[in-house]
Amino acid sequence: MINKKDIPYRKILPPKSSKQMGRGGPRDMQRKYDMGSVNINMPKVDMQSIKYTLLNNKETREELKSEIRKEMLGIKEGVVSKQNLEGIGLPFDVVEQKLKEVIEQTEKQARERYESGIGSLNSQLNVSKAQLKEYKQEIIQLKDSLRSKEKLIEDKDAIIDKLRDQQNEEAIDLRTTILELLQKIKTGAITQDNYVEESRPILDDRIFIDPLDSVETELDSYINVVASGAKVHKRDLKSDVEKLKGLLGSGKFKPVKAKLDN
Amino acid sequence: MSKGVGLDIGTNMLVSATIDDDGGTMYKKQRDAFLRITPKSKVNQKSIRMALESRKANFIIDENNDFIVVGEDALRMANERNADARRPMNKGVLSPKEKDSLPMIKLIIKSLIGQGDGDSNLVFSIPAEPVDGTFDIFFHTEMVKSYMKEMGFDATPLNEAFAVAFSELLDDNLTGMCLSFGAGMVNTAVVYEGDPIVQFSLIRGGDWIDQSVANALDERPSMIQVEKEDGDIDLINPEGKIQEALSVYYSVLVGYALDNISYELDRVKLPSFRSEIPIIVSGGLTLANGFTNKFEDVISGKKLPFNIKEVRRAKDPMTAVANGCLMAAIL
Repeated sequence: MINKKDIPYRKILPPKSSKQMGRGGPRDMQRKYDMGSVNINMPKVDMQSIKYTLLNNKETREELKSEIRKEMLGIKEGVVSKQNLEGIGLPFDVVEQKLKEVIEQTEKQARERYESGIGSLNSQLNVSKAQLKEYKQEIIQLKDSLRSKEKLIEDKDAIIDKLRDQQNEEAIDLRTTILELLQKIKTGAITQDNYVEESRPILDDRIFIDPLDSVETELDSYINVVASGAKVHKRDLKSDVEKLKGLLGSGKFKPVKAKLDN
Repeated sequence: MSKGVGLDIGTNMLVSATIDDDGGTMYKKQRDAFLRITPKSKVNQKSIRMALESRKANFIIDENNDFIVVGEDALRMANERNADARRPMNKGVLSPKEKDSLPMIKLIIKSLIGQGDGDSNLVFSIPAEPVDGTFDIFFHTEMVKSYMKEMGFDATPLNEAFAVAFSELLDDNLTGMCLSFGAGMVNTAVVYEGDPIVQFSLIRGGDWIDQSVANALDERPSMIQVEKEDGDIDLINPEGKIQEALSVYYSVLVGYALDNISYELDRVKLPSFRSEIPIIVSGGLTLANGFTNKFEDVISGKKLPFNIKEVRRAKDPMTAVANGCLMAAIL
């Protein structure tokens, strides 16, 4: 068995000073006074003999226990009345009632908080449910869209081929039209002045009405104009006309169909 | 060589070209101006007629016994009387609004070309569509055709500036730019190897110069016209206020024409000319001394889509159009 004296106490205690109070100050004395009035005055008994008696005699033991309990209950009531109730100035049953009320109030508040929390959680849960529903709907729509896009992607080759064919047809038509127009321009069928889109309807409002058609005029003319030849430069008309024919008719020069405005 | 007639129906002058007995070209000209003189009495009527006959004037007597002096004498007599002669074609073409003048123009044309045999070829000049104004080229063309048919001709119209090309570009492979500076308008054609690629007209010409100078100097346009045509004007060294003003307005008109030509040629896609091309200037306005020099001076500052070989005046600026029409008629 280990003796306490054999265990070294290594903690260095601070040196005693005047500030360290003993247990004999005025407050200690007051406390001792207060507590002293409730000291349990236990009778001095031979504990060893009581021990054997109690161990061997059950009835006695039970009686003793009952006595002790009675004593303890009285002590307890005394302690309670001395330490609390007398200080507050309220009877025990009132305090007990107050405590019950406080407990009930606390319980009620806790229940209300709990119920309120439950309600809030419920509404949050409902909102979340609605959002979830929307998200589900959106997901369904996106899936549909994705399916249609996938369908389009599947058909893209066919669409591209179709567009390419259309483009080719348009290009061929355009090219044909341009070649026709170029040919017409080359042959003089179209000039800047006479080009009209063939398909466009035109208003034929160029109707000539001779203002002198029904007018009878009696005019006596005394006009005599004298002819003259070329003044300075004599022209060889025959040679000039042959030259002009050569320029307009030879393969070297383009035909001039537009030379005369019909 | 087949027979044919060329007719230049200009704003100021009518010129016909026919083939004479020797196979040469014969020209007849008549100014299309009128002056109506209304006699105040029978005695006055007699005296007027004697006066007209003594100066060998051309005139017409209408159903009211009014005298209508035509041509050069109309212009001169109008100046003597401080009046203005009528110019039925002062806007470049015959107009239904000038209905009263149409019979007289018909008579003048008849005096120039005579009577055809029913199917004689006649080619007459018409202006191109103007780019700075509008006029009814259709009425003009149909009216002339109607006259010609009545006179026994099978008539075909030909652009005025293109007719100049027939006459003047025979040694240039029918390639060049031709300008006809007339009294009523300036006609332009760019011809490439016989094709008239661009043709257009401007409704400013000699009449505009006369009017502008008259306004500037507070004179009558007909007086300015006489001074311009008879005064032996020198555009480089003008003498007197009228000639100085005329020189200035010639420059303005040439500059205006070339600016428009540059603008119009910029709009169309011209073929790439392999070599330099000549510019032919024709028409009554080019008769002024120094016109070609002035034109060269103005064109040197302009941007054109081809290089210029030379600026050349037509051999006879007053008959070039009629000559080209005649050649087209007998082709």
